[in-house]
Amino acid sequence: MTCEPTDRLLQTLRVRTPGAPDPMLQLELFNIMDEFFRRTSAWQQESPIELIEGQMDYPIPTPPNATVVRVLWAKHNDLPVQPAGSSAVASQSSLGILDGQLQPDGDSIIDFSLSDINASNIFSWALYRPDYLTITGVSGQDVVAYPFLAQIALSVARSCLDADCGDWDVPEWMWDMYFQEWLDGTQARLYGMMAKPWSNQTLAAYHAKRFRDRMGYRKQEIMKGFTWGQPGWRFPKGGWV
Amino acid sequence: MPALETVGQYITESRRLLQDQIVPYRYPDTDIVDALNVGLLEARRLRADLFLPLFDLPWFDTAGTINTSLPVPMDPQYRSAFVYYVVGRMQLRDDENTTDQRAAAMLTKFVGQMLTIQS
Repeated sequence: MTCEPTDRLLQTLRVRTPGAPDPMLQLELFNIMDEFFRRTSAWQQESPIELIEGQMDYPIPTPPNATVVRVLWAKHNDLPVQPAGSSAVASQSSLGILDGQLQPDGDSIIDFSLSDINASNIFSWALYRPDYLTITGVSGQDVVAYPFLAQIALSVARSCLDADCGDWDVPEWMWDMYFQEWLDGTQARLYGMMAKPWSNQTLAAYHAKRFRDRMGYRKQEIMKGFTWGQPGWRFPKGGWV
Repeated sequence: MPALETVGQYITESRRLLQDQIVPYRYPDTDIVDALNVGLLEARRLRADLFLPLFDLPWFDTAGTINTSLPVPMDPQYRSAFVYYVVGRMQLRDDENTTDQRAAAMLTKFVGQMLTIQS
């Protein structure tokens, strides 16, 4: 007899959602874990990237059955590297607004055509698609001599659903640590389905609220570390801070 | 091994409820398997999750001799519902041995088992 990390969750779900077939339970468990990881950045890993002079795009190494959600921070030779669009480097944001610090009046006080300030020459990074890191300014032996370290947030990949291994390559400690969150979330999704033997809108709302509440707590806890008393409640607006 | 694994087992169980176990049969094998095929279509409409992950619809050939050893890929929790569907569909035909109420009850039971917790 084997004992897989998903067993405890699936056993509990089988009892609590009578009639739900196992592939349905696994699919919704996968969906809720994906949502949880994408919201909380709970699954993190430091990925070293070997720089090559003149190359801009680098695939981000990930564990099996995992996909990149976001890069949290990066460093090179023990120094933090700013993402493109941050105030420390050239001007790029999702709104396309140039950085105010570089252009205090909002006017072109610097003639960029005459300047050597060019985003492509500044050592910075950006993530235009989840699995590739774009690093600019990779030039010189002193740059390529050290690996570029990126702290990445991961989520479960679709390939998990094809795997029969039962652990989906998620770090083992998470199955116990986030058991209640994933159980509540999966139950909320299952109970909220239309015209199923296990449909129950009242329980769906109850478990969805528990899931959202716990996910907010976990998001703060992960940023501040697993230490007692760190997350608090913000008043009067509400929400974990 | 759970019950109702193969086409042959569905035929046998359906005949038991139809009281059609003596040769020559009142309901031919091909009709019973056709009803099973239609039942699978109905189930796909009512409960798509039963056909995860690829949503492939099983279909059993009724031209020629029925291969009774073919497995019917269905979650064990819902296999008996298909027997009720097959029986109900068989009894929909005009037959002195059956009644419309019984056929309707069987088909309703199939839908009920698909959508609610009842046996």
